[in-house]
Amino acid sequence: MSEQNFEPKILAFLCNWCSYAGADLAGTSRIQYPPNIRVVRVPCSGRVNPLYIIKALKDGIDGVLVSGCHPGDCHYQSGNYYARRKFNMIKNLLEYMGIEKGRIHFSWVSASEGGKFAEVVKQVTESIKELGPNKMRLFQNIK
Amino acid sequence: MEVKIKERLSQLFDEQKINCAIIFEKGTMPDKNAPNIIYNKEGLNNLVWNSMNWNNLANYLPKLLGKKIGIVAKGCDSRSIVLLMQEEKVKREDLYIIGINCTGMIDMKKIAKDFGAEISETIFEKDSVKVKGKASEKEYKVKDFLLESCQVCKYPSPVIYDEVLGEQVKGFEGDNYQDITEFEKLSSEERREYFYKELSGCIRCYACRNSCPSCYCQECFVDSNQPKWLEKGQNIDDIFFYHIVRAYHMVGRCVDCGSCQNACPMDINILKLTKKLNKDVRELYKYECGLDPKNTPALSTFEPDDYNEFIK
Amino acid sequence: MKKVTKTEFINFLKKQSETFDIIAPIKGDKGIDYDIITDFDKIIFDHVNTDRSFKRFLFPQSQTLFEFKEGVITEAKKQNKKKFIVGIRNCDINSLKVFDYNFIEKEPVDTFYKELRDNTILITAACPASNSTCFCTSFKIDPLSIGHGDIGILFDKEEDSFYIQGNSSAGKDIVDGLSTKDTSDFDQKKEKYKKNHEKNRDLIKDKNLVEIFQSKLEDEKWGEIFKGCIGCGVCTFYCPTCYCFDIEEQGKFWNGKRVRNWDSCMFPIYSKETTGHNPRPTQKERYRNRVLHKFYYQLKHNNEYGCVGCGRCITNCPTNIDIRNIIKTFI
Repeated sequence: MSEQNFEPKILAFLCNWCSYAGADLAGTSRIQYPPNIRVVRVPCSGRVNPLYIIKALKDGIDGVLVSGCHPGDCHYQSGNYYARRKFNMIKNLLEYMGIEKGRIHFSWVSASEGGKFAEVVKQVTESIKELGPNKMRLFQNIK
Repeated sequence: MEVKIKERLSQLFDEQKINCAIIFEKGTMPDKNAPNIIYNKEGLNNLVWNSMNWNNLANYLPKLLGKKIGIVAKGCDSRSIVLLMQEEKVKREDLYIIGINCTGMIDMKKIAKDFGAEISETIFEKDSVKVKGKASEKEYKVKDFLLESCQVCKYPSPVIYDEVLGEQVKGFEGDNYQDITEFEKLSSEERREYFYKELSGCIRCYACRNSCPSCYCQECFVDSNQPKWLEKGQNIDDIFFYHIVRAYHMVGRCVDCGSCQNACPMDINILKLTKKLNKDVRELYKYECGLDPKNTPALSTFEPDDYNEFIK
Repeated sequence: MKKVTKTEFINFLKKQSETFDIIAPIKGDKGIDYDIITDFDKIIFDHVNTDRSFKRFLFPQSQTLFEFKEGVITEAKKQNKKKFIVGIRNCDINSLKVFDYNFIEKEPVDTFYKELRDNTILITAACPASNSTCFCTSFKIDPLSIGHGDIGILFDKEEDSFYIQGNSSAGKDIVDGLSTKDTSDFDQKKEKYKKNHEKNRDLIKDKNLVEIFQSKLEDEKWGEIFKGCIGCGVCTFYCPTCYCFDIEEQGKFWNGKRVRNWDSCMFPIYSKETTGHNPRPTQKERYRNRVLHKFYYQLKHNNEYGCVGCGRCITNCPTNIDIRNIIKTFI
């Protein structure tokens, strides 16, 4: 695939109560957004083990988006607060080890923010398009 | 110091306050001491205390659950004990901690390099070590050849103990994460290159994981095959991610004892990873692990106004 | 046998590098280790032994067996250039007895190992001295022998010269072209180096280990000797005779490969069964297995020791577990 028409594959972990519903709303409201994301519905953003992100990157996904409820709105009271700490650390670590800054994204999208969801996906897709394909594709660096 | 430790431990065995003890024994190599678990007084004969005891003895605690344990603890060991208490891997009432004010451990690999020939004997004096080879002899100051983690150790005195031996030692007062701040200034590609080069030496013996007291999982994520997180073997990406996840599991749980790096047979600079996370935890969440058993680990708690800028 | 100067020997290696990849010990950041040579003047001949054994060139840590893509299976690419490994010590070369027995002599033959083995010329070098951790004489290995491998050499530092001898037919062919000096002083030179090996102790002293261990399989001492072991794989990965491997599929089911990787009996997952049961539940059983495999099982079935006395597991163990002590405990 040439650089120009590179279409990234993006894995999106959406929380069941807010972001997934927000994505749904974006759909029913017929808001256009890039078709690059593959959605995995999770019960809460706190359910997203950072290993999921790492495993996805290792297996060659071009980018990861994790989205949950706004702080204070978590269906389980505090899941997203814990998640925020975890994501902050894994993001820092990955960037520190030299994985490009725009590969992983986090967002808070509520069930009523269909427009915001489309906007987030647009931003994420653009930033990953700029970076190009994941350089860690399988079998690339075999000793 | 040795005599005092021996005396105290044999007394404890006599009083039946403990039924096993974790100590250092004189090793079979001149540049190594052997951590060991003993079950009776006779085991104390080989006890040794000098500047080669870098292993973190708290590593053996989770395996001895339910026994009355006597443990000789340096500053870092005691912080690991606190961490294990927080995580309920060991009970305070099962432990008798003989704290040691630690003056720092010596980097024998560095000395061996400097010495050039094979070391046949090491004799420790108060703050120096005499290294003897077949034909030559040289004296080193412990201070000049400290291990990387000991050079910037902030807590050389134990934070938790039943009794403490040795004179109070002052901890390092400067910024102990200076090297990380420097390293962060490099560009993303440079850092990536550095880690790829450094980690390409990894033979995946998992000595770093197994020598770490915080790594006590029954099944490690690298061993798990359902789900299979990582592939085995020498693919550099797998090695890269193994080290990322190992370090990530240390968030707010690493006491900077440096035993991972010291155990590494390939001399990989693993501390570069864990120290970065410690630095971030300290800056973002004002938390340092292993200081007070009543504290909650950084990732097990939250503040509503935690750093939020990175989230859209 | 022939005698050549160092320059002649280096030129001889350079000539061989046209047909072979020359692998020899050089000094790196971390110590002396084998590597593919580009600068021939950097080769080290007078060291005691390399940090790691040469087994990874014949039995790589990760070796692809075949690849599959959308239902089509392609065999792994074969190595096209032959290898020429220089400076193997007598302890390490003896480890091949274990490998050959398991991978070649017994059916079915391991073609991946055999292919690498057949395409490699091994040059054994007599050991100039012993470290305090060396105990190869326990296993009837002469550290000064030049009779193993395809070619044997003895490097004399004083005269900067090499005694060189072809052992196998391939080795003899290669050595044939060299001119020679008088070699009558070889025995004298060998005698001179003998005194450097005084530290190299015979721990076994002709005792019958099979009989000894037979009665001690459940000895209570097993519960003590492993105590400090943290269960890492350093000893097994450094060991020149450890040959255990694990085969796994990597990638996805429509696109991936089958790879074999080194495995270590020190890991809990090594003996774990699908049911979740682990017949070696603690480090005690794992460590016992390692010792018995080296000194009992292999001796019983193959009449070869599973240990060559190189001492690498002793130098590299992070908790200083000493296999010599374990032999001493039971003998």
